[in-house]
Amino acid sequence: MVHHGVIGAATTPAGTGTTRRDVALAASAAPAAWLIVATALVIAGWMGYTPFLTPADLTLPEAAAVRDHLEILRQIESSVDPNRAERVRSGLVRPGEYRMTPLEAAVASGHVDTVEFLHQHGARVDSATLPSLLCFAQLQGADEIATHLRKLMPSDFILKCDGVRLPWTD
Amino acid sequence: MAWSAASLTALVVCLAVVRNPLQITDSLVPILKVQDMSAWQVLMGKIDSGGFFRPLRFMQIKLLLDGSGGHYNLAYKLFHVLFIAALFFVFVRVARVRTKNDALAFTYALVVLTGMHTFLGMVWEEYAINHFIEIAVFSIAALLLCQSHGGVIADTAAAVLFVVATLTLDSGPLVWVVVVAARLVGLRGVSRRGVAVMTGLLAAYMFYRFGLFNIGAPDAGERATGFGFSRIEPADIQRRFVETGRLYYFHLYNVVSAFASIFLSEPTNGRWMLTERVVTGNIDPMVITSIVSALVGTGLLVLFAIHRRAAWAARQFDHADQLVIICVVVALANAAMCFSYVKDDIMSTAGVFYALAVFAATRDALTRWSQPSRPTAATAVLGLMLFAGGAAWTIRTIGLQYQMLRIGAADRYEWAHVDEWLAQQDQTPTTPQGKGLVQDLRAEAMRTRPLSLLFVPRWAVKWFITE
Repeated sequence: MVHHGVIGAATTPAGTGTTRRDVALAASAAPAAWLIVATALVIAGWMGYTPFLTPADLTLPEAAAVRDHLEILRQIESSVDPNRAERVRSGLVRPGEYRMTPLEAAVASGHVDTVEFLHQHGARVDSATLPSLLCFAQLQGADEIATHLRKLMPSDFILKCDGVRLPWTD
Repeated sequence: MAWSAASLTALVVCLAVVRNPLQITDSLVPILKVQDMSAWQVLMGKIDSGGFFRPLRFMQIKLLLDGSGGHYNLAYKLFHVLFIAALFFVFVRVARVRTKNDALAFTYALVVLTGMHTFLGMVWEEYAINHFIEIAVFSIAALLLCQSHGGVIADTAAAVLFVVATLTLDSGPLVWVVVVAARLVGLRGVSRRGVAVMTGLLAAYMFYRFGLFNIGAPDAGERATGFGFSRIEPADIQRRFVETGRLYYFHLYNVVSAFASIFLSEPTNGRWMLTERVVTGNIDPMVITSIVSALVGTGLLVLFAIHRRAAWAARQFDHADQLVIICVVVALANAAMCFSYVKDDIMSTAGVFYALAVFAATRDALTRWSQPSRPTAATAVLGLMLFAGGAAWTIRTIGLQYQMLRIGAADRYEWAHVDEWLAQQDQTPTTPQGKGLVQDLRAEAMRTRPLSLLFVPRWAVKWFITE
């Protein structure tokens, strides 16, 4: 059997060892960096520090904004009010932080399935909330959501969006 | 160092796996089906299924369900984690890391292992058990037995591995391929008698599958698959290949594509997506990392083969030669199993052997190309090439984590709509036990805490998936 997988350091002339080591390090530099970062993240996670959110960190409107239907369900089954406005952190629907209801967050994110899901699980879509949601969807250009909401509109309902404003100004 | 790096990599992969819920597709229905059957009934009920032969897979699902004590997620995830740990364990043992140089090459191989697109199939889904990782572990374990000093225990263990693998998944005969290939390149851990016994078992398997029960193989056109730059549906396969009598071309395409996917990281599930991107000029970072990583990884294998061709012709094989040659043989056999349709998951065992082969070739390159007689410029080029390859494979490894986050979010979404999904599949449970099981599994899925994709920046996503 031939064995040539081991470096014979004793035969290496002075000066060439550095080059040899450099090549080996070049091969493993990026993988090693990844392992170091991964280790740091794992240790930080165990100590309670993580740069990532988990579903448990989300408010109900945030869960609606990110389309986490299972978390929506969990919170509603845990008696969280599906109509209560809560904060939606920056980066979830827009760069800024806003206070909105789950339905507004779903409209803001453009997820028609989340609007439907919230409606099925107790979020109020009636004469009190429908105008603002529908106008909001129209202003957003969320046509699919607007179409869906229109189906829920009573036939004699007259929509006026004059006073409705988006939560953001940019 | 090798053990530390492998343990850490395994830990990171396992954490991603356990954070995600069990999937619904291909998982919930088998669990519901075995719920009210005995383990024996499950085994007997699956020994003559048309097209597929996986009785032990269903038995494992049943045994874990019954043994979970109501902690279903924990049981199935723990089983998966054990196989991930086993995969990394046998990977380290087979690689035989002895020196610091070996360890550096091994670190490189680890990101090749976890960055391979085929690795994803072994970790991102449970069906409800991941049988692809089982076959990979059994195959590498078989190679480990071939590397051993041999004896009755090694022979018996190899035969047991073969039987368990073939009863678990259709690609189980790869265990036999590994043992035979290993013997041909000088690994005598499994004796001639052991190989003969395994060959007899393979013949019995073939007779049972193709003769006695006529289980056969999946029909062409049974599933959609990638073809060229697109994906073709079963009806298209029927029209373009079956009805025109050109089915052999289709089979050949599938086998060649599956084989190429290991060494070129392309096609993916039979579809030449990267090539299409290059041809249309739609090149995003992921295309570049895939091409660079494959070029460097497979380039090292080609350089190694050129260098060792004389020794191979003289039938002199060292450890590195054995790993590289066995990789090619396993890739060929694994690709042949994709003749009906190409699926990256099926090629996952070949992907693990590819990582081992790259380890061997990298170690050889580090040793040989940095000899004093080599020009400094050549050594510098090798260094740059390896750095680029290492970086590209590392990005692909990080991409694996990103894909795990994506599948976690998708699985959670499915669990929120599980009742609708079951109704669509016409699989709504009718018994109180079945309904209770679905509710329990959904409650467990609710408690999972996958990390959120929210703060993965848009620019980073382009490095991990093609958009």
